[in-house]
Amino acid sequence: MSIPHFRYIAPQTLEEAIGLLRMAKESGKRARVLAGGTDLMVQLRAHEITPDVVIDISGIKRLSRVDRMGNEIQIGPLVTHASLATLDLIREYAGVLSEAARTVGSPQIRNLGTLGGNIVNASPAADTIPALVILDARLALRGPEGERILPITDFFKGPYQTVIEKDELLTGVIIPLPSLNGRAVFLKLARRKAVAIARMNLACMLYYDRQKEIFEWVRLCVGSSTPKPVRMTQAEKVLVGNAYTDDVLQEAGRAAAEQMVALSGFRSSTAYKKPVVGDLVIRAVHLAVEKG
Amino acid sequence: MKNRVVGERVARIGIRDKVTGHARYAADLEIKNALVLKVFRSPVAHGRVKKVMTEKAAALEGVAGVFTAADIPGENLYGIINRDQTVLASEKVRFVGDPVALVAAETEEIAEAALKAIEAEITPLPALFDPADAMAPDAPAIHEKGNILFTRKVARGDIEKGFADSDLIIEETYETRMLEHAYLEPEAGVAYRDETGCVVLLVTTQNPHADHAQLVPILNVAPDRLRVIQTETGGGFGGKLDISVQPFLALAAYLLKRPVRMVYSREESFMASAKRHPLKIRMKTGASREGKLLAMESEITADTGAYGSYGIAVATRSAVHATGPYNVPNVSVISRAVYTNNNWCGAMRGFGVPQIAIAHESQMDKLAQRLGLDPITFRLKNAFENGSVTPTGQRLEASVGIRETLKKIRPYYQTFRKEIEANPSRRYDGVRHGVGVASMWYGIGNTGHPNPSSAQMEVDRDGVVTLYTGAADIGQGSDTVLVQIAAETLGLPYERIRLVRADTTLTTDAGATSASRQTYISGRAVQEAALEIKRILTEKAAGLLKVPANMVACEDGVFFPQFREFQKIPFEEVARAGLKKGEKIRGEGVFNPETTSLDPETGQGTPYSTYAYASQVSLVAVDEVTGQVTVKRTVSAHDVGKAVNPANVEGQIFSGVAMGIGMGLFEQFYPNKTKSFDTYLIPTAMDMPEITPIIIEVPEPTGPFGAKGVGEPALIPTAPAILNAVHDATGRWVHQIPADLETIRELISEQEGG
Repeated sequence: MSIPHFRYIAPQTLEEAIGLLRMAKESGKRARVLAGGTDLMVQLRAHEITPDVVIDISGIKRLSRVDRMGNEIQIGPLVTHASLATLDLIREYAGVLSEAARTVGSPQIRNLGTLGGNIVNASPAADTIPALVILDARLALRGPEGERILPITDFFKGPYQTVIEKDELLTGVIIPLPSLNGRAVFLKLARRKAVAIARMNLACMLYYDRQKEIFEWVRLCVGSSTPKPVRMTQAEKVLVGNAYTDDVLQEAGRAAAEQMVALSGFRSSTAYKKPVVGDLVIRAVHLAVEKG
Repeated sequence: MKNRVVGERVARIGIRDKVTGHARYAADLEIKNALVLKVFRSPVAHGRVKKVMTEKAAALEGVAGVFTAADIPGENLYGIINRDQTVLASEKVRFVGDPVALVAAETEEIAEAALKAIEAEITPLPALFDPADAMAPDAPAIHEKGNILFTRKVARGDIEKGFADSDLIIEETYETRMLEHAYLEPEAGVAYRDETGCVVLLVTTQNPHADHAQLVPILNVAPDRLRVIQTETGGGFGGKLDISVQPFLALAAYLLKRPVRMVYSREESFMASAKRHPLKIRMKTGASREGKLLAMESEITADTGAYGSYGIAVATRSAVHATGPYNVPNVSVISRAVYTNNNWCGAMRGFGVPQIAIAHESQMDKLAQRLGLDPITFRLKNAFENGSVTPTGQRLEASVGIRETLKKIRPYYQTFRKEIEANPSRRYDGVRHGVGVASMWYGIGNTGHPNPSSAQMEVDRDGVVTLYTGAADIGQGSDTVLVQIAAETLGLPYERIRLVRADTTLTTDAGATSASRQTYISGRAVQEAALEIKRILTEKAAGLLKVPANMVACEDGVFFPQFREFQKIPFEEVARAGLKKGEKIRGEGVFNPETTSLDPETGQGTPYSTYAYASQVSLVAVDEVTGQVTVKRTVSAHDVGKAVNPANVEGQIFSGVAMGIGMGLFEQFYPNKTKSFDTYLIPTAMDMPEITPIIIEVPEPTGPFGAKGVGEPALIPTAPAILNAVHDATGRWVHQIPADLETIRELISEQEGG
């Protein structure tokens, strides 16, 4: 099948790219941003999108940087999954994001696909998003009027829906350095071991105080199970201040399952996902505690 | 004398080109000024074609032709066993994707625009998607002759008495799914008319001669006005036995007198090509307290979809193999292939045997468990041996290796058991391990039908040896194996033999690359051709050496008298001796394994002249939280008669295990829903277990150097062994594939719930 015709432009600077987006918006042209292309090319081939112009930002060098700035790491949106999986800075300070990136697709997809693309495409099954949520990531968006920064959970409106404006570009992902005592786990459940879309994925970070025998703090996010990514606050509440016991874990699992159903309603997949999400939360918490 | 080429891991012919990307598949062929072909397909599952309006499409600039059924010069009908399929629908469409009109245009985009401009008036008819509905007495007829394509019965002994004598009877219904072959290379080809006007097709195919035979009546031309040449083929698995792009290419090249090319997208390949028949199998098996099988009754229903294709073969093969490789004195099987308006189903690696093996191997484990026997001991109590009589009344005379395969996997079975016991599951791990065994038998070649192969060899005055075979190498390695057999027979180095293959003008019919038959049948034909050359050359060498012919040997391209090896004459010198310019030495071989047609009422007869056997053991991990089954280890023992190329045999075993994991755990094709690999999941390298292939060689006297076949057998025991291992891990039997996340989680929950 042939892909639809469009104009292709490859700006070399951020300003140029945003200028092009603005021009497209003002003239009523449909523009699409191309980064790694692992989602865009599929949509083009299926004629799901028929843009007038494709703006290839892959040549804008400053968007592929990773920097530590004080108490934060800033990750450029063009950083690939392969880089996230291997860069020392990410592995040290955002290990759970590395783990999540390592489960994306295949080596070929990880070499092309970018963090920014994974976020902006806004698939409910995106693997990096639950990790970014529990890392309290913020997103920097740049438009003609300047930059705005918002928490990642405010970015999504629903499946494949975000608050990004037509003339805005995601320019950075900001992750505060996590407290050193936290232990994180990423679990991905898919139908096969590679090139697989998550049936469910889960990121969990917590600190269990072994002296006091209580969960000091817990952050949980389950992907592919709610319309937009959220923290599993009810399960977190069950755990915090309590001891690591079977009963507490079971209760946390139930709370997560209930929150998922409350947010997504009862769907055909719920019969499977409801019990599994609870059990996966238990497994993740257990694995995080085992890490020390 | 020791074999020098047969049994060696010689490098595959053409492998360097494939690995480096230089091999040219049909879609890689550049052909000047070629028109692009596209097909307009039915949007409805069942309907009457009232009118197909092509004028607007034909009027578009860059459209060279738009064709409908009315433009077909010959018969608008084809089908490999029963002819029921139209090239372009004339009266009816029977599934979503049935071809209605053909467009030839200068570019792909114009062709796509032309498809959009075609208007087809099709009156929808009631559509049937379940064989049970299609068999109902008042069901609308999908084909004129009714919805039951074929019924195969196999009856032996006294089934009632068999069950009456049984101490234990197990009855269950099993269901398998419609599957896609998922070959790497989608259907593709090019065609043109040569300077004589002959239509030449270069096409990916498993059987160029059958393509030719089917295309001649469609074009209504003399057989020599059409030539089919097989291009490098990227897998077939049975899916390239039926014609696909061939009639479109032939028709457009013939009518437009211009070169044409056609390449299916993955989506079109999924929509238009044959699928594996989903089977519903009720099976009842009885055994004595001592563990002897006494009776087996089965009713099998295969959904063949809109067209017959190989449906008859699947109904028959599943019936004659339904007992598994075991002595069962009383057997009653009825197997039907039924039309529906689903995608049509055809040949796919094993023709119904991978499906029926799930039933008979689950039954075996259920019986073994109830009898308190381990699965291998129980199978050994019942496995065939020389002199056993099959359910079709055939006495097995030789090459019955099933017991050897079971004995060879036994130590692995015991090791896996011990490993599991030594590593019990820890808290919150949620992983249970299990070990499963499965066996199979598989008749080599077509069922109860003659299926000859032929080959020619020639040697010229320079000693150049050429082998001509019609056998299509589709990636399984027949080129290499056939050359090995020829080289071994002649006493020549493997590299000395030139190969001409799979071209209907240059080679003769070798039959299909299917039914695991090329090594056994075409291999034997090649051996016969080589033996004829050898006889002629040996006599010439005897004359030159002045010794009796029975004293002459040839090794590594040198003739010599036995015990006087210093008196050497090079092969080419012997070949040249006495040959005039332009003369060649020729040898011809034909082999048609002995079969008889099966009795229509009882199925008695000799469906195949030989059978392959295998047993497999798999170690699996079942995640009780997610329901995910992971195959950790697989040991697969195959009696292949003789491994002409052990590396090839092992390759088949690895690929069979991969395909079986997909069949058992992941794959399900939903008609009209499954569009591509986006939702049709096949295993990746990451899903593969560690595989230990074991080759067992119980020679087949009629096979070349004792060889049988392994292509399909490699797949067959995999899914059943996995399902039996899942039972071992969870205590639950799986009666439907795929054993996916939801199925397994639910089975485990049911158990926990009580």
